[in-house]
Amino acid sequence: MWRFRVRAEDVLSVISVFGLVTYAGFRALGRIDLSEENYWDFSLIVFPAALLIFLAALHYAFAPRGESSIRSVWVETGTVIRDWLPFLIFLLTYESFRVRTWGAISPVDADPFLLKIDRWLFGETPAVVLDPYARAWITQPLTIAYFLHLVLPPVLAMLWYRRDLLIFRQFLLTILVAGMIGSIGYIAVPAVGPGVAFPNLFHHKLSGEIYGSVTEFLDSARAMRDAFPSLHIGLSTIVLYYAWLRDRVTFAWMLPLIVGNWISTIYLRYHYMIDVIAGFVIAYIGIVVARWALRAETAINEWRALRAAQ
Amino acid sequence: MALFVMILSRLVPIMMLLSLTLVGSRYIYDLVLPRRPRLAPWAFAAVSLIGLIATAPYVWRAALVVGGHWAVERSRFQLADILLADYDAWGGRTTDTVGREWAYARMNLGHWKDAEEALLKVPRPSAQSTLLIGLCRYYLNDPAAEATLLRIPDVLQVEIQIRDYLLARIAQKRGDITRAYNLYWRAASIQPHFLPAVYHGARLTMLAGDADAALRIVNAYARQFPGAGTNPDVLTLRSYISSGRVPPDKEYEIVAF
Repeated sequence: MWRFRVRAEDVLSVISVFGLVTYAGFRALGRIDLSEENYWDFSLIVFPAALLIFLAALHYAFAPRGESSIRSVWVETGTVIRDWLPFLIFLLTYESFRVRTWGAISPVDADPFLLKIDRWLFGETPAVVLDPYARAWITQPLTIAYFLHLVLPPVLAMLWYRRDLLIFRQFLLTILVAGMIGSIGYIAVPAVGPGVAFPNLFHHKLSGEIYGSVTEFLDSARAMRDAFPSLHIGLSTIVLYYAWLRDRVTFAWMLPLIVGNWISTIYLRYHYMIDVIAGFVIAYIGIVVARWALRAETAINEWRALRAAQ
Repeated sequence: MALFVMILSRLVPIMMLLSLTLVGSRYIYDLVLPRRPRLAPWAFAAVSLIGLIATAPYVWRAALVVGGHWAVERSRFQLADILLADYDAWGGRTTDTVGREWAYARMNLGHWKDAEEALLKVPRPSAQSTLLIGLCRYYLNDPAAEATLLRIPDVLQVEIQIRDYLLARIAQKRGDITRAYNLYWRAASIQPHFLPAVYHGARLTMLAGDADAALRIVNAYARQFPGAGTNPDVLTLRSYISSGRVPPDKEYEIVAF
């Protein structure tokens, strides 16, 4: 008989939903709108799961008689949904940032504070330093690179899912932890980034066909105060780390894309340098905490098994 | 890129429907096979066909809406209007983005009433969609335009400079010049590149008899944006201001997405 066993990511997803409800009230959940504008970013998580379910159905439909059963296809579908669902739930809580959850703690944007830190550390925020180099031929590829932080995690998740369920879970758990810390940062330090907060600091317009369409699309899906810490940096660093664990070929093709993603956060004026540094820090914390959480889960399961055996 | 994610998001439900069809077909096949082996392949085919027929409208709507988006991106507005109207006729949901794309295509064709109709189909219009409804109503000389525009809050991802500009135009037509000037000023402060607000701000300054201030507005704009100095409207403003005349009133036709 199939038994439901609580996993670390279930606990974290429930905590994130509980934290959101406690903090912002049920209104925050009610306002999560799965309209087309918001659905497409969900589809980046749902798509790999739907693809796996489709492959299972295809296999069942055309398998020689006796090799596959209706039960096996339901079990496989259930397993796929069970493995991917916690991460979808977390993504739903991210959507709640549309309801101005940050307003309760920090009603005033922290952009001037973040700019001050950058100026204190580096003399000027790097986005302004890069302003004179704004060219369409640089903007276009960097816009694509900027978008990749949404594409690469599901791609790598799929690669790991087929090979090792435990690393797949560890990888997505890392993303979940980093995302939770990032969400807390969004609430505690709400900021929109230098491009929106200080347009007067920039004298060269970012333009291009790809730039316009992609940023418009991303802006429709992003949280409204999502500068500190940079989850672009956090997520892409996590992807790079797990690509390195997988094999050198995956790491080699992902490295230039991710370095491009890092540069794009500054060049496209979405982040201050302090956000970037914080992004690396949350990636590190995410990796450590996810490992620890899975170890704790294993220990609890072993203890339970031992107790059941006694 | 937008097209890619649009296709991706619509592939998910299509794949789920196809999965269900495949599983259903095989299940029926396995049920029929022991008793009527010759009928089993036909049962498989029949269920598959039912599944495909059930999926077809969704696939067709997906093709229409993706095609509509593609056409808008390539400024093929007539085609976009046809495809999105078909999408609507096939029972497609007019979401905020679809509504704005459809309205944008119709605005570019000069069909303001149709554009407004497309936007009114959106069940829960965003602030940007409400702005576009106000925009259409303004060009339709609908008195409801002002009330619609006044409903739009100061929020990100909304072209509030257009709201302020249109409210300024309405105020100016009503004869409330001070309010109009303030709103033009605000629109130009939000989006310094927004020439219509600069044009009318400078024009009202000329109407007030302050040629120096009007010239300062135009020069500041031309200095801020290299290349703007050769813009026909900037040249017109300079020519009129330098000869002490009030530039002609100009109705800009603004389309937005």
